Amino acid sequence: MRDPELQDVLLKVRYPDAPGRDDLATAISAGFLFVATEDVTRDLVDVALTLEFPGLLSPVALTTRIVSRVAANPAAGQAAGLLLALQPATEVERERLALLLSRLRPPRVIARAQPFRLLLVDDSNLAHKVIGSAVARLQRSYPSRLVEVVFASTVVDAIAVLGRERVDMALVDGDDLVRAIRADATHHALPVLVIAGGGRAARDTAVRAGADLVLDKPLMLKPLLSTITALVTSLPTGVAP
Amino acid sequence: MKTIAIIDDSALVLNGARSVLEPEGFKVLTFDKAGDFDPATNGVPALFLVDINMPEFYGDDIVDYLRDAFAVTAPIYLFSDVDEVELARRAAACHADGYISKRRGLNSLPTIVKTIVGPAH
Repeated sequence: MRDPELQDVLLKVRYPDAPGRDDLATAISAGFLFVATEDVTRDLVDVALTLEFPGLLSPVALTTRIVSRVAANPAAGQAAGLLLALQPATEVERERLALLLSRLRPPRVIARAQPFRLLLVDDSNLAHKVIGSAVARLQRSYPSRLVEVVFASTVVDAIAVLGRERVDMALVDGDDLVRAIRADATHHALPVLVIAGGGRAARDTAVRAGADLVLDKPLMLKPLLSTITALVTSLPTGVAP
Repeated sequence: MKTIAIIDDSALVLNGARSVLEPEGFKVLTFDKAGDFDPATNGVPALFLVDINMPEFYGDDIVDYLRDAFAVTAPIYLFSDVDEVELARRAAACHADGYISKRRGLNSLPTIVKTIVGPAH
């Protein structure tokens, strides 16, 4: 049974003891963290990890302990993963965790001088419609524009957008644009989220291409947008994450 | 004649649902992608059934999309074979009007649909 206090999020998980390996945290509460991973048989009890979100949240180092290993159960709508107890080892870590949780709370009503601009590059008409609709819904809850989506269907269109408009983050289906961005003198540091559809192999390919965060299909849209919005609104304008 | 719209990436499910609902007098519209539905050409169905696990987006997000993009006021039900506890939780979380478990079998679908929208005519 799911802990009712678990809040849906999407954060990148990295492990200091396993450089190059990363997973996605999909839910968090004050006491627990769920990490979606195929690797649920790791012979570990205590897991040191960092949580981050490209461009919006610098890595937060935490100490955790495995509570249970969850096998994938598609019939129950359950992804494989690890349920971890958050166990701050020091007062500093306790404060770090409290700050992280406060930043992930639902967005406050604030005014931003400029909306956070997300470039969506996807040749799927459905993706444009569904993501555009989800962002528009999000906007209706706030008095000012917090997040704005700019659409492109091809790499060529996306490059053109980057050349003429301010973009804070790119959400891309496929690896080609990531390589183009990383090779570009002006935009090489742009945070890029890649939507990958082929499991671990596709994830690894996207990371090698330069993706900051790899998201699986189907896209977990609400957790993604709520995490971005919470982090954007908890970040004082002009302050680095 | 009432129209039932079904969004599901499985042709087997779409064809099966059509085969049990049409003989009961319902008009059935089937879509393997939610983006293909357009009320301007399809009209406004009396009920939407939306699968959860689809290739691009989860049905949970499609419920919101239908409501926001087309101001759909007709009931929208999640239609899935995930277990009923999870199905009920997700239906509540995405503000669907309810859910129908595929585990009840397609033969039970006409009866369930009639309890939601009434007779076909």
